[in-house]
Amino acid sequence: MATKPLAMIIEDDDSLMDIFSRALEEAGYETMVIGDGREALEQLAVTRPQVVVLDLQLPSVSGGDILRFIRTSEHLKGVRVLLATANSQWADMLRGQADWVFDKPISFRQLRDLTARLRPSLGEDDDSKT
Amino acid sequence: MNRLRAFAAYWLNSENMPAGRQLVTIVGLLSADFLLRLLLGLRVSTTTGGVATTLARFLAVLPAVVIAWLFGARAGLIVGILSFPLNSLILNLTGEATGWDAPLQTPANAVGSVMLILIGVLLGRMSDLEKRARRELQQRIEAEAALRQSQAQLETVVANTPIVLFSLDNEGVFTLLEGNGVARLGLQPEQMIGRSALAVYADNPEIVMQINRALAGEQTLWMMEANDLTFEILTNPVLDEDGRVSGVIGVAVDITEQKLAEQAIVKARDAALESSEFKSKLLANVSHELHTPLGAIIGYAEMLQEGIYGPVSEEQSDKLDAIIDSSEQLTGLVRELLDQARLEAGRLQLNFAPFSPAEMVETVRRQMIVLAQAKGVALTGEVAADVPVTLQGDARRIQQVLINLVGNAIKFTEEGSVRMKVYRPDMEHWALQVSDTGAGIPDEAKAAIFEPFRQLEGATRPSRAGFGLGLSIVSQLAALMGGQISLESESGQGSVFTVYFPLEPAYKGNGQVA
Repeated sequence: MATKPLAMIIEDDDSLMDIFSRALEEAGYETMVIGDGREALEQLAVTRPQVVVLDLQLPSVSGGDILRFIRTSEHLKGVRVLLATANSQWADMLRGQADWVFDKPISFRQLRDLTARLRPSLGEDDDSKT
Repeated sequence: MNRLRAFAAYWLNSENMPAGRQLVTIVGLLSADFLLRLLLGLRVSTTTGGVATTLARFLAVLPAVVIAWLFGARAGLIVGILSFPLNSLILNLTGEATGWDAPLQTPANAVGSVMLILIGVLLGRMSDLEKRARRELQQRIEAEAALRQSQAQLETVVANTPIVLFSLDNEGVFTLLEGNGVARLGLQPEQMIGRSALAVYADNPEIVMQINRALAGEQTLWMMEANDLTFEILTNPVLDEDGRVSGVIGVAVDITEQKLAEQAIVKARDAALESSEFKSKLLANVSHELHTPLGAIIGYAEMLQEGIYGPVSEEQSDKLDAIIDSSEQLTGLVRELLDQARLEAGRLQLNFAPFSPAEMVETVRRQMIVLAQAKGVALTGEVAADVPVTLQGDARRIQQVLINLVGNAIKFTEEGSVRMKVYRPDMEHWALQVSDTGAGIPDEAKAAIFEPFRQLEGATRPSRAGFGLGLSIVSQLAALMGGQISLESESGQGSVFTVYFPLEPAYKGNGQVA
């Protein structure tokens, strides 16, 4: 049995953190939840998740900076990033770098269904690597 | 007559007296002289008296002298020449001599005739010179008075203008220092004149450099700060006949107030930018803070509905639906209010990029079809063949315009259809049209429909479509993108909203449009 793909959820609101992680678990992911931008960068330096759900407005380091870090790090190449934001203008600026941009509030069902659709191809990716 | 006058004007010294009067004067004098001498001559022929002869000779000279002195050299010459035939006539009439050359027949008469001409010319010439000297002297006196007056005016102006007027010789020594600015700078002209500017400002390398440039023949323009004042200084080299710099003349203008005003403007601009930046940040934060709890409400309601926290009854599920619906409605309202606030703050940024109108129409159709089907209204979309495959603009905002118009059309249409159409009304524009078969809009409501917080009568509470900001935002967004919205509608006949956009938008990518 293949191990579950890892999803990193970077979101500072406890309730949304809970909802997002549940949606991704339902979609078949192992989840790692981080509530602070700096901590997220530290984790991303040593971990390679398949999917990152990223809130744009975070304490200490912004979601935009984390997105740039992911896109410029060699070991994080190909990581799928789902950007969650309440600010459509910032989202527009980062649209080219993220795989998917959600306008907040994000629906539990929408997130679950989308990440579930992403998973099979990622699973194959993992299989081919191992 | 005119020719005679012109002739007289040329030949006579007619500056102070009309030429005609001069001519009359000359002829009168000559005639009087002629008559007197004729009378004396007649007496001479009978009495041969020495006194009368002397008197006649004196009289012959007198008119020439008077006329030459009065009217100048040319008149003197004329009189001298005219005297010859007159003398000839007198001599013939008195019987002293006969023939036209009577005045030349005795040496005394001949000498007298020539002398007469010479006296006329010389005396006239002297008179001319005297008049000219007098005239020139007068002119010079007047010119000097005018010069003194203008100099006094200039001095008054310089003394009262906030400038410093100065000149330096070719070694940089002050030769002039005037103007109201001198006192402002705390300078004493009497102490400065005769001193070298290079020595006075030896401790200021900038000034020394500028003075040296000026002495090298350059025009200079620079600023100098002293006594909390700012002076702008312009210097020009003064060149001698050989083109060498013989000195420098300069003017220093007090621009302190101008500079303070500029600083105030910069400060005000910075403050405005800061305040605008603050508004923008505030809007982003408000948006974040409002959307986060809404996300939790909707998310948990969905999770409850999904049975993640245990089985849910049908009634409970219905109530959860209501929670989700209301939350989504609230989300719509928040989004509208924030959009309106952004538009008002001038912080709405447009992202200029190519997009496919066909894709956009299809996306909106897919998104809105559920709403249309729920009301039993058909929703169709078409893109005319002459519309380019890609258009330029802010796709997200244009889509927002389309969604708002379609949502509005569905809301007010009970049966029939809502049609989206993209077409080209002319060579420079493309248009987005949404038509419906709904209730239509009465004329009296048309003007107000694009104002914020207006809805048609009957829609008394905020509906799912929002506070009534939808059409206001549509028209503001359209205007922001260089577009224009038009409405055709009659009560009961449906409505047609058309937004015209330029094919070549004036705004560019990521630029803020205020």
